[in-house]
Amino acid sequence: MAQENKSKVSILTNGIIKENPVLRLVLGTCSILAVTTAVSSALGMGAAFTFVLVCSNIMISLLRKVIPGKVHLPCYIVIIAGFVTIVQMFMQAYMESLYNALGVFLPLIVVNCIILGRAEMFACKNNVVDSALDGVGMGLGYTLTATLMASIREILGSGTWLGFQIIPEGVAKVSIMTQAPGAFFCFGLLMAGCVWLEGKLDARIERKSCCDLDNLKKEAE
Amino acid sequence: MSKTANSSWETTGKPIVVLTVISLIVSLLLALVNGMTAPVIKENTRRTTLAAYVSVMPSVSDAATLEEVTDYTTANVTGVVKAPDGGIAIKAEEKGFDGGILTVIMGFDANGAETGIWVDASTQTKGIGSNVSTDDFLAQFNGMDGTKNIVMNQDFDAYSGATISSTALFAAINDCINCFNELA
Repeated sequence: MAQENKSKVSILTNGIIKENPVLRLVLGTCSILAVTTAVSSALGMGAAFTFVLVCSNIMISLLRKVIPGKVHLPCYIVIIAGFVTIVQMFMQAYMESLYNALGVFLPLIVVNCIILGRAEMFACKNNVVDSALDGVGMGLGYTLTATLMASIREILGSGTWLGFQIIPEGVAKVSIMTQAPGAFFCFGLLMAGCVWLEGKLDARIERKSCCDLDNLKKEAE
Repeated sequence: MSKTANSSWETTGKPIVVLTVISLIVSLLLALVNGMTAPVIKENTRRTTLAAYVSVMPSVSDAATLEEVTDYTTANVTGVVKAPDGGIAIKAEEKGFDGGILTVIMGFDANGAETGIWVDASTQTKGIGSNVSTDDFLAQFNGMDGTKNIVMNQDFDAYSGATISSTALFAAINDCINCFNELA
């Protein structure tokens, strides 16, 4: 894998705009659409998600030479599920309100495509430090996107931000923003915004990336 | 893989051993974490339940004064506490929509009048079945006679559109009433 030219900083920042897992790779949208009704649950989900992603990336990267190709998926899933269950137990014990707010989407981190995707696309081919950085970057990208989307939805839909009243009580609220259609609407706008932003930054950022399909094809050839 | 090791070990033995070892290590780790967190989780649940008992008994302000009652036989009742002034709070569980457990805690004063209802419908469908726990809906039960069984849509209304969750709610309330009559 000829990826020495990737600097540590670019691995870290990759997940935020260029390869934002939610807006550019369009992975993990299920949880994003569901938990972004309130900023507090988006932040909690982002933190839990980042923890699991960093831990599983480190673990899978460490074991990448040990795990045989035949059973790599079951191994990844066992590792990921283990970390998710640990987070779940700690959250239920020490952050009960957050645990209740996230509900079923917390255990569902196990099958979140981003985590398995990063294991398959990055951690299994890169060293521990790079994999950890990738996990942090992707986790930040996920958390930032979730927080941004939750901010828009919570302010417009409930008139609050992190529970504080932003829009005065009397003003009519756009209550569709707290429901599923509002989530899709908001998601689409953010995606468009991200593409636009990427275009603006493109002159300065090098284009090559490990999940760029064209590059993957070239490497395979 | 440029290893020259025995091929049946590489194709069959190693995958089994690696997966087994990883699973064992993860299980061990989970057992450790569970050992740490299980008591805290149990304590949290107990505190929530006690707070719910207090919330249906206006005369009680401190959960420590409640006395646990265990000599009841009514089915589906999962807990009873008694206050010093003779008030009783009864917890009952019924299967609601899709098997989700609907929990009801009902408070009675010494004469059997209802003093409060607390409903946990978080297992029911959000926005439909979960509506049976809203204060607006539960207000209809305020001060009802807690010694007579109630019939849905006759004595009190079901939540329209949430028949299954409402049926579970009424069944749980009747469990509480039966248990109160048993203990009285």
